[in-house]
Amino acid sequence: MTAVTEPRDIRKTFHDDLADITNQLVAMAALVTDTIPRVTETLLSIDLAEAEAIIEADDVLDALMVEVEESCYRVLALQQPMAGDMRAIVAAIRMVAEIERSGDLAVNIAKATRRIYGVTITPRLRGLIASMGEEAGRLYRLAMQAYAEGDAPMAAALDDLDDRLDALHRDYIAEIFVAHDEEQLTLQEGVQLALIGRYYERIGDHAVNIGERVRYMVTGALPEQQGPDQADEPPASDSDGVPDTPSGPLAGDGADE
Amino acid sequence: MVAALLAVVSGVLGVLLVRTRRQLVVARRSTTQRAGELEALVDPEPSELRRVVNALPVATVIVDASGTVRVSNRAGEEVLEPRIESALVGRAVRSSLAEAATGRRVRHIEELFGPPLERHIITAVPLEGGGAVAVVQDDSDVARTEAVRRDFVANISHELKTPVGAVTLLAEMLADETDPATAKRFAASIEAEVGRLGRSVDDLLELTQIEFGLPDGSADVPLDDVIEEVRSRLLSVAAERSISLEVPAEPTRLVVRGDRRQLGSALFNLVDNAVKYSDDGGTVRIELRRSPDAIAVEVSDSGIGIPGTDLERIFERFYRVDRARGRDTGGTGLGLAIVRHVVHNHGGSVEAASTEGVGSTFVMKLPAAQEAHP
Repeated sequence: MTAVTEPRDIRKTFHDDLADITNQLVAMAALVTDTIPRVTETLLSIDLAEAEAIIEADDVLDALMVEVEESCYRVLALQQPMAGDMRAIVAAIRMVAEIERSGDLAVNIAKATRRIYGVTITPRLRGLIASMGEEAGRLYRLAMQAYAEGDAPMAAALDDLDDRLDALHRDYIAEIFVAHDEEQLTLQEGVQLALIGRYYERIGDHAVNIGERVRYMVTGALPEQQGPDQADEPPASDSDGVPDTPSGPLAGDGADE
Repeated sequence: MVAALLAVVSGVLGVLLVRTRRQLVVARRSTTQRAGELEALVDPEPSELRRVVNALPVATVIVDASGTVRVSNRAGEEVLEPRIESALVGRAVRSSLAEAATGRRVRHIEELFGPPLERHIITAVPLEGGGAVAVVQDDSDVARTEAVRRDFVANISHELKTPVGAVTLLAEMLADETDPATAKRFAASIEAEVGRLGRSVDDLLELTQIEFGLPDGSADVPLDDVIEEVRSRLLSVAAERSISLEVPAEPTRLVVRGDRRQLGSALFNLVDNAVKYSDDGGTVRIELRRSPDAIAVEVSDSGIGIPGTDLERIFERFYRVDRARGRDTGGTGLGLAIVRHVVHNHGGSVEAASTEGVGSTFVMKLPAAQEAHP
């Protein structure tokens, strides 16, 4: 796809190809980091027109994903990279899926804005939503900074940094129960808001996964077969305050589609 | 014996290696120097062009016919670096250059949500003989000013037209009303709407006066007196809603040079807002802190808080934080604009920090005058 928009002879060397992939990946992540505060604002102000715009803009991210993947496969096929270069391509292929999925989660928040139209969100819940949005965006920026700079220690620190987002998510779920008990939210509204919290928490998990891929790219160490990479499994009720629902909407990313 | 021989050989080799490395460095330096001189002799333009491009206040990137970057200034390099902050602008520059290289002039506007809002205008034009040049103009200040102006017009229309509309409607209904009790209710509503309109006009007039700066004859203003004045004005309003209004327990004797009426107005607006946006039974605290060169007047509350995205803009005239939050406080939307102008008139600054559902803290930092006498 890239070859259509950019002349092939721009990419003269193998390292130019690698640099292009890095640029494309960072641009994809920048789209996500720009969307996170935007969708949070959209949600808190219940701006349906902006929600629609965010949903439609996801096509750009999807198209970029195809571009990056094709670039990676082309480099693999034509350049046959070795060692660190090979790891960079493999990591990019995995990361592109993480970023695209994060974009989908932001879209899910935009869609949820439509579903909670007319609901008055309590100030405390609004504050927690804003904090979760800020934290998810921060994690994402750090993950991509670690990638662009090849900073393995920073990438490794993301898992710990994600604890703050997880704690905010737990507080948020607890606050939904409080608001429901005080009859400020109906059960349906509470469930919709819980899903929104889950989307933010999953964006943080994807940032941690990107960190794992950066570590692999830099050090060659494969990510541990536990922790954030296993986050696609249904969450345990004692870890995040959300009940186990193996086949329910909270399983995995809790995606709409 | 063998060891001694090895030591001698390695010593000799070491000396030779160092000498060779030095020669290489000298040779490389002279080659580079000569290449530069030759380049300057053959074609002085590139270095001249580079100097000009570096001096440009906008990010500039020039590519040749193959799409390879030939010249870019520092800002241009930053845009093209794989950084999350500039990646979207970098991507737009690359695609604009690729399109311009096909012979089309390109103008692309890249808007980023931020916050703060950013807007970058990318213009790419084809070059004679192939290649293209792109410049990136940072238009963020203009974009933010436009947003302020747009909101100001919308807000002032709302604040002034809504009561006028309500009064017109109520007057029409009153004219046809025969029931005295209902007519009285309409009259009371008209009075309330006119009162709201009057407060808006009063605040606008006060803000206009404050915008002219400090009146002649600044004086030492004891902050303890200002705080006491504001506390006594708001005590009954706070008590009605069981809000605790806490002030420094002991006199601080801190003094600011300026206008007492303006300072009183600024503090009144901060404390009034804190009370309005606090839940019943909450706490509003006024504190004074002294640093070597400034006095901080801090007003904190346990109220509903302000969203982070609004914090930067709450000091604008008529700016309202999310009307959907459903708390009609009867304010005019000018209070914080008055605060900002008063603080600036006194050579200070004002900052706000807030977490929704937890509370807000406003800090006015004012240059300190000498301490008051007891």
